Amino acid sequence: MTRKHRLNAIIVYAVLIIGMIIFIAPYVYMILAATQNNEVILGKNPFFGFGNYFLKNLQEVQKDYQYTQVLLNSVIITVIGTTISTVITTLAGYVLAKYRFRGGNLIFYLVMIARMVPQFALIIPTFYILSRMNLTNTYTGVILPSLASTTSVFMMRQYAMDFPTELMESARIDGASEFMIFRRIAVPVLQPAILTTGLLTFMGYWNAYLFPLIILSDPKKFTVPLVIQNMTQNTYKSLNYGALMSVLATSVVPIVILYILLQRKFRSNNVASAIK
Amino acid sequence: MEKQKHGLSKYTGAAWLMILPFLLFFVVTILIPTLMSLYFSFASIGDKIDFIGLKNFIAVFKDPLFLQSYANTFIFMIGSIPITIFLSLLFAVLLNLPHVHGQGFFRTSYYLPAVTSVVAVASVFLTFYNPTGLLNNVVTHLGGQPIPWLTDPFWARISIIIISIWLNIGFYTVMFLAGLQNISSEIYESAEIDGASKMRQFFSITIPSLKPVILLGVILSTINGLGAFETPNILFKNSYGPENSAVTVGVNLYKTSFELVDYGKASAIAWTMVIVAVILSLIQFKIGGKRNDA
Amino acid sequence: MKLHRMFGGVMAAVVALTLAACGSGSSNSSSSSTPANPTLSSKRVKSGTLTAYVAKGKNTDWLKASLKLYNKKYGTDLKLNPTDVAPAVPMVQKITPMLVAKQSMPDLVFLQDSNAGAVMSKFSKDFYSSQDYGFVKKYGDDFYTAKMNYAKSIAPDKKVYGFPNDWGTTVLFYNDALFKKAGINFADVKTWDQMIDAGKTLKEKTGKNLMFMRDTGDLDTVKNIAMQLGAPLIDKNGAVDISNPKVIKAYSILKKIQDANIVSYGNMADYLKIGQQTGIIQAGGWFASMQQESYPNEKGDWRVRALPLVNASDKVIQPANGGSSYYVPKKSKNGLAAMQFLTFMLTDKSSLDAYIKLAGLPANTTAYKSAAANEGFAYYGGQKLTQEMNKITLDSLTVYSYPYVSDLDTYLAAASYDVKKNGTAPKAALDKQAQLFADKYSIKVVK
Repeated sequence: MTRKHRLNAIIVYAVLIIGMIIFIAPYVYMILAATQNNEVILGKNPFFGFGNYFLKNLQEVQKDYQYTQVLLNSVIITVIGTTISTVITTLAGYVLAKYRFRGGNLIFYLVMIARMVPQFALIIPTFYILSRMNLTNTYTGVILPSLASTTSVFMMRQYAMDFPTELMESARIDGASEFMIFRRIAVPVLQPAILTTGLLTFMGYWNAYLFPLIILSDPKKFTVPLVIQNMTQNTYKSLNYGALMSVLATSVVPIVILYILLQRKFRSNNVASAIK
Repeated sequence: MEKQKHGLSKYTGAAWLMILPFLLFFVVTILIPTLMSLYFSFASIGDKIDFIGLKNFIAVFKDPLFLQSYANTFIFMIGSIPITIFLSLLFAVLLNLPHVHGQGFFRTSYYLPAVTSVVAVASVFLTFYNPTGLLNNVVTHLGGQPIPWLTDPFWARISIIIISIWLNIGFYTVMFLAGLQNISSEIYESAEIDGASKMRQFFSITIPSLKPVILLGVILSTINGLGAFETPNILFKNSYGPENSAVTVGVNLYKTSFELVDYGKASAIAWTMVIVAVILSLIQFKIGGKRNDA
Repeated sequence: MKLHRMFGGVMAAVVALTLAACGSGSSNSSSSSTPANPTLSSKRVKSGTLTAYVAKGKNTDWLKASLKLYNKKYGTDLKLNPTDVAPAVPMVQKITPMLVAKQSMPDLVFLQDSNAGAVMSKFSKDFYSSQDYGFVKKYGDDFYTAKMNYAKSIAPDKKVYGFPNDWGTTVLFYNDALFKKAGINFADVKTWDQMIDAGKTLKEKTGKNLMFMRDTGDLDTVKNIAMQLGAPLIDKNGAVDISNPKVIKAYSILKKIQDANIVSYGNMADYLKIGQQTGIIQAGGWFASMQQESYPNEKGDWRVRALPLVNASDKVIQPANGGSSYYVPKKSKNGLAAMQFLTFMLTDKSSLDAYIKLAGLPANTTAYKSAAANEGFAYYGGQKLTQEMNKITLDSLTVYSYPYVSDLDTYLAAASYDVKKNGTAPKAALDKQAQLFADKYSIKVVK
C-alpha cells in the first residue's frame, strides 16, 4: 500500500467518522436522557452518563399508556401496511417504467400530481371516505390510506428505468410470462431499490401521526406517535422527560434493527449478478 | 422509441393486471380525496359545505403572509437541497468504495435521521440551539461569539436549513447508494481496461448513471420542502420566527387548518402548492433530460 | 384488449360505488335516547356509557371521580369511556374530520377556550347549547363573570354552547427565599417599577435575573401589562386593537425591564426551566402542580400572588389566561345523559371539591367556599394557594373570542421583536402589525 493510498484512506475514514458523530449525537442524548429523571434532565448541569431511571420510566409509560400494547399495534399496522404497499407499488412502478400502454402516462401524471398534494389537505376527505366504509377506529382504516404510496411508485419507476429491457426480451424468447419476468428477474435485480422504498414506507407507517390520530378512537389501538404526541402536548399533566425519551428511544430501535438486518441484502444483488 | 412501443403493446393486458391492485387503492384513497380537496378549495367547510367560488383563493392572495411564506420556502430549498445532494453523494460514493470497512455501521448511523420522526429531531435540536446550548458552547470554546440561532432572521433560516440537511442526508445517501449498486461493475471494469482514471470514471459513468436518482431526489426535496412545517413549528412555537423568517407554506397551511379551522382556505393554500410543485417538477424534468421523460 | 375493457368496467364500478357510498350520508346515525330539545327538566337517563375525548391527567380523573358521585346520588348506572386526546390542536384535528363527515361523535368533548372560537365558528349547529339546555340561566351567575362573557362571545349566534369547566388569570410565582436572601420582602412590591428595582437588587446580591423572556420577541409581559390596563387586544366587535396607549404604555415598562439587564432570554420550550432559575415566573394557575412535581427540592421557596400594578392607584384588573369547557355533540349516543352529568359535575359541591383536590381550578366560584379550597400548600410555605388564585381570578379582564384570537400572539411578538432589534417606536411597530393582521383576516383595525 502506497503512502498516497494510506492518506486517502485516512481522509475517507475521517469524513465518514465525523459524519457519524454528527448523526448519532442526538440519539446518544436521547438514550442517556431515557435513563435519567426530570431533575437531572431539567437541571443546569449537562449529563454524560447513564442514570438508573430507565426501568422506572418504562414502567410509567406502561402504566399510563399500556405501552407494550401500543408497540404491538404499531408493529401490526406497520408490518401489514409495509408488506402490501411494497408489493403493489413495486409492481406499479415497474409497469410504469417498462410497459407502454394506453393510459400508462395518464396514470403516471396522476400519481405525480397526487404526490404534490400536501397531506393536510387530504385528511378530511380521506376520513370522509373511511367513515362511509365503516373503517374508522380500525387497523384497516389506518393502513389503507397509505397503501398506494405515490412516493414509492415514483421512486420504483425511476429505479426500474435502468432495468435492462434486453433481460425482459430474452426471457420472453425463453417463453416466460410477464409476471414470471417480474418475479424471477426484475425483483432480484431491483432488490436494493425495493428495500430502499420499502424501508421508507415502513418508516412512514411507523412514524405516522395524523391518520392514526383521526382514525383511532380506542386507546387500546393507539400507536407510538400518538403516545408521543399525547405526552408532549398534554398541558394538564407534567411531562416526565425521561419517560418521553425512553419512548423515543424504543420507537427508533425497531427500525434500526430492521435496517441492520436488511443491510446485507442491499449489497448482495445487482444487475451484474443477474446477468450472469 | 416507436418500435419499442409497438413491440411491447401486446403485453398491455399483463401490464394492466400488474398495476391494478395499486390503482384500486390509489383511486379510492388518493385520487378521490384529492378531487374532494380540490372541491373544498372552492367551498366553505362547516356544518354545511357550501360552494363559494374563488373566495378562498382571493382571501389567500390577500394575506401578506402568503407571499412571504413562499419566499421563505424557496430560501430554505435553495439553502438546503444542493448541500444535501452534494454531501449525500459524497457519503454514498465513499461508502461504496470497495475497501472501506464498517460500511454497514456508517450507513446505519447516517440513516438514523431518516427513520426518526421530525418532531423528535427538531425537539432535540431546539435544546442545541439554546443561547447557552450545546452549539454555542462549541462555538465559544473555539473562540467565537455566541450565535443568535433563533433570534436573528438570518440565523433562524440557517437553523432550519441545518436541520433539514441533517434530516435528509441519510435518506439520500441510501438512495444514491442503491443507485450506485445498480450500476453494473462491468462498466467500470471495461473503463478500467480502457485506462480511464477514477475521476474520469466518476464523472462519465457514476454521475450520468445516477442522474435519474438525483433528479428524483431533487423533486422529492422540492415537494417535501413546500410542505415542511414541523421544524419551524417546533423551533418557533406559535410564532413565525424573527421578522417572519420562519414561516413556510406548510406552516401557513397548518395554522389555517388547525388553528383557524378554515379547511376551505387551507385547501386553497394546498392547491397553490400543487400548482407550484407541478411547475417546478416540469422544469426539473426538462433540465433532467428527455431520457427520464419516458 | 378484453382485459383492458374489463379493467375499465371495474374502475368505473369502483368510483360509482365509492361516490354512492359517500353520498348516502346517513349511514351511522346515533340511536340516541336524547329528545329533540333536551332541557334541565328532561327525564334523567339511568344507564349508558359516556364516551369522552379528554386529555389524560386531572380532567380525566375528575370525570371518573365525579361520575362515581353522580351514580351514587341519582342511583344511575353510567359508565365512562375516556379517550386520551391531547388538548388544543390535536383535539381540533381529531374532531373536525368527524364533524365534516357527520360521523357519530363522543358524548363529551373537552375543548380549550382558545380553540373553541375557531371550531364553533364553523360547527356550532352540531353541538347542543348549554344555554338552550337551561344550564346558563340556572347556574351561570355562579361562574366567573369573565368566563361567562367569554363563553357568550364564542359562537357566531352569541349563544353559549359549552359547559364551563375552568378559567384562569396569569399569576405571579416568585421565589420568596431568593428575594429574602437579597434582603427583599417581595410581598411589599406593589408596582412594576418597584419590581424592576427589586430585580436590580436581586441581580446585584445573588447574580440571578428577575425573569424569563422569549428571545423571539416578548409576548407574555406586554400582553399581561396591557390587559392589566384593561386592553382586550381584540375588541368586542372583533377588530384588532393593539396600538392604543395602553399597549404602548406596556411597551415602555417592557423597555425598562430590558434596559435594567435583569432578563434571562430563551426559547419558549424552556421557559419554565429557565424561569425556575430566576426570581419570578408569570404563569397560569396550572403551573403550580407542574412546579411541585418537577422541582421538589425547592419546596418552601416559592409563593404565589397577583402581578404588580402599573400604578399603585390603578383599579385591579387581572390578565385573562384562558380556560376550557366541555361540549356535547348532537351526533352523540348519550347527549342528554352527558349534559345531565356535566350539570352535576360542574355545580355539585362534592364534585367540585374533587376537582380542587386534583389541583383543578373550577370556573364555578361556589367551589371556593369549601374547606378543600382553603387548604394550605406545603410546597408554597403553607399558602392557601387555591383561594389565592380564586381571589386573583375574580378580577379577571373580560376578553372576546374570535377564530383568529390565538394568532394575534404571533403579531404581538413580531412587534416586540421589531421594537427591540431595530429600535422601532412601539406605536409604529404595533400599527404595522395590526394592519398585517387585519389584512390577513379581513377585519378592522381600531385606530
